[in-house]
Amino acid sequence: MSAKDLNKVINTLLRDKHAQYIASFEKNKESFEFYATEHFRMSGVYWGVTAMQLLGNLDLMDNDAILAWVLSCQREDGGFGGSERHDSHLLYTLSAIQILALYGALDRINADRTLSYISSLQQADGSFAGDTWGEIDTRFSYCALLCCSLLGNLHAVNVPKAVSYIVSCQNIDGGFGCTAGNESHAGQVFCCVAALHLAGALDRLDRDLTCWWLCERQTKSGGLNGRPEKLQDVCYSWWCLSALSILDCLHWIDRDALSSFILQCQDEERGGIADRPEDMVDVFHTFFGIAGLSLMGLCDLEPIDPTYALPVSTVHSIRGT
Amino acid sequence: MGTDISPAEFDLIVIGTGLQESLIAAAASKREKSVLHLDPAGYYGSQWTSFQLDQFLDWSKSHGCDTSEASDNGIGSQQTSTLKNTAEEESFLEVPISNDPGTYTNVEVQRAEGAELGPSKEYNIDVAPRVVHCAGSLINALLDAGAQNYLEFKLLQQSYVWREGRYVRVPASRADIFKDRSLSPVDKRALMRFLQKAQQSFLGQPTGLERDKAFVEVLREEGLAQPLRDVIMYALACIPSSQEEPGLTGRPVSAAGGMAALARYMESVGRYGADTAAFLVPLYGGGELPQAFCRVAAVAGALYVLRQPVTSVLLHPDSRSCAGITTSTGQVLRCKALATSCGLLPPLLPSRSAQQPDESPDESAQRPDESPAESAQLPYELPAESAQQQRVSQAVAIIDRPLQEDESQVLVVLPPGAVSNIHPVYALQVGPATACAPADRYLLYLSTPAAAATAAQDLRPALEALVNVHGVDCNVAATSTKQGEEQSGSDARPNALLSAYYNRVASPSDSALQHQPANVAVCDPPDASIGYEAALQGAQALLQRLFPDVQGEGLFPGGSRANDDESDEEAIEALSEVLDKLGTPRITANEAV
Amino acid sequence: MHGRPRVPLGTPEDPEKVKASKQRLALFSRLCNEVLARRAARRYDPEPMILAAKLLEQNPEVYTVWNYRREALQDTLQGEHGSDAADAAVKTELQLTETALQKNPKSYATWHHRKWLVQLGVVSLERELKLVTKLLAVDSRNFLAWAYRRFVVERACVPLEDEEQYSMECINANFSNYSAWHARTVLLPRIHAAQPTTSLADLLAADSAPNQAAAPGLVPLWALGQELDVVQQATFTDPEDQSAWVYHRWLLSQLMAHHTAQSSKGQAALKESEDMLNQEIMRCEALLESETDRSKCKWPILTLARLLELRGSQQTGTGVQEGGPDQQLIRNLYGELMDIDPMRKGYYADALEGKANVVTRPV
Repeated sequence: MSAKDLNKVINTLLRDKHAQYIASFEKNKESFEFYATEHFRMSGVYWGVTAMQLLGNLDLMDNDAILAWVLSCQREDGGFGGSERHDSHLLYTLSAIQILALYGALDRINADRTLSYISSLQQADGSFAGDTWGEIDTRFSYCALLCCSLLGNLHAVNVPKAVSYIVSCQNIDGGFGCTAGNESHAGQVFCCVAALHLAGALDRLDRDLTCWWLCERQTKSGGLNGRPEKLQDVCYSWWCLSALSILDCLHWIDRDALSSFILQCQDEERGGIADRPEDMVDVFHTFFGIAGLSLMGLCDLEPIDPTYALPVSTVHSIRGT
Repeated sequence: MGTDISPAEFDLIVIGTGLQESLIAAAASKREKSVLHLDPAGYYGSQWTSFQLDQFLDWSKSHGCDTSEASDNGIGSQQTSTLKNTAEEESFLEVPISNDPGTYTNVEVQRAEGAELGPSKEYNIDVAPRVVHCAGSLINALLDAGAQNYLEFKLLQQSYVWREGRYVRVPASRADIFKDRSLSPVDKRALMRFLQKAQQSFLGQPTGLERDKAFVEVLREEGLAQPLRDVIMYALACIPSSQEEPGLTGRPVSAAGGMAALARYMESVGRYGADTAAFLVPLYGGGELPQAFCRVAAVAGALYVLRQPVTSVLLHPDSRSCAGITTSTGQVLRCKALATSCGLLPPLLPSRSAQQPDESPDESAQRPDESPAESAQLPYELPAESAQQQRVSQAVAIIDRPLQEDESQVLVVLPPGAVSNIHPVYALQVGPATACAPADRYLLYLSTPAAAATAAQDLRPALEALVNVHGVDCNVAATSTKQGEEQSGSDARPNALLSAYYNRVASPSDSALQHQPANVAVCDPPDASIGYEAALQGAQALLQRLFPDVQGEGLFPGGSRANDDESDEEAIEALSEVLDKLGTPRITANEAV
Repeated sequence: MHGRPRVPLGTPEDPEKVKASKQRLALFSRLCNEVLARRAARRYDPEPMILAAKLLEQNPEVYTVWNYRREALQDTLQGEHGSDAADAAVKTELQLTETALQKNPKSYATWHHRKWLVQLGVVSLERELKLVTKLLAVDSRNFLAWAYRRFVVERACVPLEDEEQYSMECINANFSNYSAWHARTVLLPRIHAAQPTTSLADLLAADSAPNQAAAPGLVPLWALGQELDVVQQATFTDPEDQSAWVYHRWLLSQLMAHHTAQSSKGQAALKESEDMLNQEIMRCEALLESETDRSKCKWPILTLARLLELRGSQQTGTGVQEGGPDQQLIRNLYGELMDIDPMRKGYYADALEGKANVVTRPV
């Protein structure tokens, strides 16, 4: 790319391009990426359909086929795998439940079976394992609490214990790590703040300190990074931003600078959004870029709920029923 | 010898296998020029070579008597052009050339009585020792030429400045500045701020500095005190000559030149991992570098003949351009362009007026010493009257232990005045770890621009400061014991087992290019700096002089640098290996898709 | 894709490369099929394990295949402890995870597989510590490697002091390494909580309150003083690097906690922490004096504002004195911050109005 191209400013969201990019992604089964990503395709589909819903283009997707495929990924233990050939895991169980919620199809599964799978993964200290093999991570605490909440029974797990484990992972900089004593990371901060919000326990964290750490993630580029002295990346637009939004501190960062950074990461030719300008796009960053813009109320997107990571309309309809 | 070289005509003939000669040979070969590379000597490297100990001693003997005056005039007096008729219909002017360029003077060697020096062949003694910038032009050229696999390097372990009789670690990087508790916080800030400015200026960002102002002046204005100025100018920017009174002669280095040198340093430091030094030294000595480029040239088709003296250069009588050479066996070899080591050729053209008028402006534009970009890149201007060639004083000592415990490769900079020296003295120590000396022996090289009558006068105080020269120099034995130190042996200095001093030419002679035809390039001798930047930039200018069609490109364009991308080939190989063992697949790839 | 440069549409493709990438895809998908088919058939003989290993070397994040290996290994490893078969199996798994980590040092699934082996008690912890040190030397910010390091250190009962020293070595190599500063915030309170104050009598002789270390999570003042010195080296070397400043904020909150803990003991007991606070104010002022370009001074300005707020709350017990000289100074500093760091204007505005207490509340 010439220097001239680099300096070019993209100041609108290329909605149609992104919709085309996401719609074509599922159909391109010839790429290495398709095979390399098979084990987490459930999350890929969640990012794709949620982004489409925010764009108002969900009708471009083959929704019946997607729904059938999601259901085919449920395992006997009640959890969901990353795709039909993969084992149950909390990460993909959440993605599956989120997709079902988006489609208003939560009644298509036996919620109790899934809830018992989730509660079986809670440990004595309140933490959650990702699956039966015992990896512990605060990300899984969020997965568990959000699944339970979406399935209408938060107290299928021990909420006070879950809260006390999350609180034990808060660091002196206000952020959270994957387990107690580990370095703060914006993705982890989002999971912990959202989980505490679901548990009604936001009073257990030092709000000002957490938000200050989060607003310091904004770099000169306008984009956000995940940890001090690291590079900005579009995915943190969601992780930092949703946490700031839950804690009512969105005004601590420069939203104009962030939105122009996200728009600058668009691929004008192929559609999609990348981690940084001039890098290759993928569905993951496309979703997080669009979700970030939606959270800031920009580009005429359907609003997204920062805790549920689902369209506000979906959250309303679930809570209404 | 005896057998004729075939073919007898080349695009380029190169005489001498010094660094620039080898770079030009490799660059031309890579561009599919036919190249003949000759060397009168039986070894590679010419003035850039590394000698085994015996070779070094022989070499010093052959320069043992002071022949400086004789040979300096020698080139001029040989200039007797004669007409020669060849077997062909053309006739040429034949100019005899010198195979004894008289580059080295004032050679002195002293050996400690009964000293065990170890096996001669385990030494690799550089005639013109220097260090490689991790992010300098030499490394780029090695990578671009695909020569990196012919060489191995080790990082310099530490740089020191010699201050008030002590080794002071050079705060050589951001990490060093942070760690160094001898620097006050305010000095840390001043030093770092300046280094950051150098990086900004390297990236083309505005720094508010006046480019033409003296570098030393800028340092003073930034509030940097003498010790920090010494560190920046001599240990980091590696400026080879004194920038401040009383040693300053001629024009001081400009802010632009100093900042460029500093930026190159900053790019180099940490290049090979957090907190790593800016400099590398090659295993088996610096002589490996020209050899690596010779291998590149040979792989690209250049023809190599060592031990082949050349007796004369042939000129087209009408245009006075070079037509070829005559070897010592009397063979005439034709060429379109000629490159030689410095000191071999007498001025082939009597004066500039003798050149064809249309050649003159072109040539002067190509002269490296006149290009304005050049002066911005190369701050190294040595004190020298324009008529005289610059000379450097060199010393090498074999010592019995490293200067600092457990540190095999180190650089010690003695700023002007540190040991009554006029110019900075650069002391480079290498040892067994870089295969330059046998076990428990180290080489200590010293270099400084020549100021006194002999190299020994210039460098003896510096050598004495760092090592105990008692064994090799009875004259200084009485005074060599440091003040306040008993002779009983509290001396922490290593002992010198052998010491050698010599002066060497460090710049092309005035006539080098000015009085040569456009298709002749005279390579520079190793310059007075301790780096390779000038040599590389000079080589590029000479290549462009010989082959104007390559103007603008680098030495090795379209460099074949290794791609770090994950290779499909590797994955295919690994996957096939395991799948082939399964025999006929039960599920085919097509079914899966 | 993280960090992979975009190729403009219409860039001519190398047919050789296209062919190679198609061939690779076909082989990889065939290998996936072979492995997952054997998994479905519950085959635990050596052949599928070799296939599974090859697949994981190519793509270490395929968690199901690690699950498959664990299923196959479980009996061997948990049954006959110390048998040749078990030793050989452990060796294979260590080799495989090491290869996989070289391919992708941020593979959660691989790190977990290794943890699982360690948890079975069949791995030399010393060797693990060496491996993780090696990986951190390559990428000193890899948070999965740091997490694994803590896991190993805990199990191997490595002295906390050794880890404290390791974190200092990391900082010496590169003080922008926030991961290493973070490690100190975890280690120092534990080290000082574990040490009975009596063993440090000589060091604490100058300390006004010998019992202070008994307070949980508090680093004694003498140790805080050392840390503040280290931070000063970093902030004067590069005042724009936030790692040391974020750490500095924690040190200030510790200082504040000392002050609060001693506030009942009278003026003399408070003097030391107040002196340290004043020293930090002077250091910030010195840094600001040495820098002509205020736009590069965001961190010392912010820290100075917070230090003055702290001094105010120490003096009055409630906050900066209304209408006092410090109050105006703090206002000016926050005003300046809004100009030189406009991205965080909202935070500075809230801080100015006392709606954002980032440091004045002790831990």
